[in-house]
Amino acid sequence: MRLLTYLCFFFVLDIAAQDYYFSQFWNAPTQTSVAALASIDHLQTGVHYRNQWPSQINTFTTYGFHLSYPLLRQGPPDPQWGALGVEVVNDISGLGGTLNNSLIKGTFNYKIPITYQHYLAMGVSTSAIWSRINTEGLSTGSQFIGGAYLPGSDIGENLNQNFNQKIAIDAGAEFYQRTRRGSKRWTIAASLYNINKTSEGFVHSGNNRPIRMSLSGGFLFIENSYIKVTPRFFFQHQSGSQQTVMGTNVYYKMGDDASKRSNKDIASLIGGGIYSRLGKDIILVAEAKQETFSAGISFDFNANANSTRPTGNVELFLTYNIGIKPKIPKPKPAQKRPRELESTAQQLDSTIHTQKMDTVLVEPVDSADLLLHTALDRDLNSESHYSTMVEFKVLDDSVNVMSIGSEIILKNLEDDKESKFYITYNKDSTAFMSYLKKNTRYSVTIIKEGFYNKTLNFNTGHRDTLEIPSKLKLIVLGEIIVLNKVHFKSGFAVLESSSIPELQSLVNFLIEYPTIKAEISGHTDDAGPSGYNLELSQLRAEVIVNYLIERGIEKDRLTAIGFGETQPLKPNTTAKNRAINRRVELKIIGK
Amino acid sequence: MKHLTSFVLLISVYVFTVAQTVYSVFIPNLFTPNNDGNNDVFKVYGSNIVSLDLRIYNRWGEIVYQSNDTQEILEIGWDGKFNNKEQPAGTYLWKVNGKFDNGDDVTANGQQSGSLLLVR
Repeated sequence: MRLLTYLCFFFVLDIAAQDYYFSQFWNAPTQTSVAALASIDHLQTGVHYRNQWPSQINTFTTYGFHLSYPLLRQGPPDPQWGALGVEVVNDISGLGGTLNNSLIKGTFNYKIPITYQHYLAMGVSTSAIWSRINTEGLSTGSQFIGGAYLPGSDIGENLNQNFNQKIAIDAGAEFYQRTRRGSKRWTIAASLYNINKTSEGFVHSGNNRPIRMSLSGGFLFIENSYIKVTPRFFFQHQSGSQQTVMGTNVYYKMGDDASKRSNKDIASLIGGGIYSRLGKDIILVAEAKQETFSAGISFDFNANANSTRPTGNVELFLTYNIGIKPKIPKPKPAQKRPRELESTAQQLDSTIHTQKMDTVLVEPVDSADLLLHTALDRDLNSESHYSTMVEFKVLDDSVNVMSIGSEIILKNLEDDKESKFYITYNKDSTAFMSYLKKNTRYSVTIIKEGFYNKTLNFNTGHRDTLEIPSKLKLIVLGEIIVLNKVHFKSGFAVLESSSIPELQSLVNFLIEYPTIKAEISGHTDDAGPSGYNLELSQLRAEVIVNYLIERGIEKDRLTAIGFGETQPLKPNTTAKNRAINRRVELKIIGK
Repeated sequence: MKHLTSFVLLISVYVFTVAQTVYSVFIPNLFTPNNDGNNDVFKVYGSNIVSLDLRIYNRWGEIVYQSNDTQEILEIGWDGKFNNKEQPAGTYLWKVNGKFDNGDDVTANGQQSGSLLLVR
């Protein structure tokens, strides 16, 4: 999901002026191009308003509402493969609303990744269009009789069909390359409108809705932590007439620091654009965008006295991204960590030294200092010939496993019975003691916040006493774990299937330690251009992050970053060293 | 003499009446270029016009018809085509600029621009 975070697709470059929708904005996919819709990855809704010729006469007024829904699937590298869109438009034109068009349009899109950064998106849409003529106040040349206009006379037309209805079909395709930040590096798109050439007329049948085509494109001129510049063009043609619009948008990235600004998830943009309709007039655009909302206004400015286009056309839009996550079931945590265990027996009286439960006998070193809550309460035989006394001891400088908040899980590996202890009170004790069955395999897991869980397996054997030193490892900020078994297809940000087990254990790890925040970094060797390596490593890191997000890890706990070839572990002198340098690392950046 | 006076008076009334009725033009807001013989062209209707400029814009703001030939505008008009291609049904915008022989601006219902519905 991160790869396709919506911000980048504010720069959807395919615009299409349709009969009832004449948008100068590029970022309402259902309202612009049927192909560009495939880029969306949020449930998005938006409203749109356009008024043409307000300074002359309110001739054209358009209201629109759209909703778009991304289609997602499991698996890397890119969970978003298509989109559905629906749009409702009401368009009123002519003085007093002579012509009223309403339409509802459904769009389906499909996106094919060609490489890890090239995509082909295709779309098709169907519109049902209702048009109505308001016959009141209509006048024709037939009413000019004997040198004068006679308002009540026959208009010379049979307008019984003042209402008609038709179906229009549009299709489009867009080919684009994506940058490591997710923006479109360049794009080229073509759309065909009304390809079924509907011909219902009000008076006669005729080809009154011609096929229209558009061609559009653009590229990312500059994108860094501060600004983003996107020049683009748009050309459209229909029988007898065409228009070309060229210009550029410039955005300033807002944020507290450069790293936030460079992160498309966090960056807020403010900017504007200037476009020229082949020297005839100028379109000025102002836009503001952040994670959920975006808004903009455009204004047509008559560049010269002979302009064919009147000044003052105004267009407004507002879109809202409704957060949506892929519907991929979360895996169950490998070990569910009880926060509060119900205590069925509380050892409040220090004179009671033992508590019977399952095969485990709890015998605190200093019973007065230890209060254990147990989850299980079963009878057991605690006679010494049957039991081994096991002492879990704290070693030297490591954390006291017996301290408050620790959780100890003892498991009989032969019958799978488990006992849990949650330490709520402790004074100076440094050991935990228990009676276990002889000749039996057990595991003990010690869980403490801020530390990695520790699990030890042991066999009690014939011994009467057993001492097990335990030491917990602190979760250290900045700690780096190399994901050795994560591999990508050479030159691509596409995971090899052999990476899945390690990724799954990474998912489990992040579920097990729900407070850990991780930075996933991609690294390459020095083969190939450094800029390419930088981008590839970023994309690979994003692929891992997407994988984790899809499997239920919260987005805000993960950061993807690509370092390219800048941080080799070994000199890039041998093939073996290069293989070591091509890697993905996990760094703990929050615990 | 009495008859002559009456005649002059009558002529004056006639001229005055004519002047009242023709210093405005009629511009229809519907035309149907479907070759059925009715309203197939869009024209400006009027007289006593000494100069006239008519422009018709489509929705994109393009000029689909432009003429400053008064006679052409009054007698031939726009046939609904642009670059020899039939233009789609919909609403268009017209603008007129001209003078009557009394020096007044040419207006239709007091307006120099308005909308036009093309249907077929």
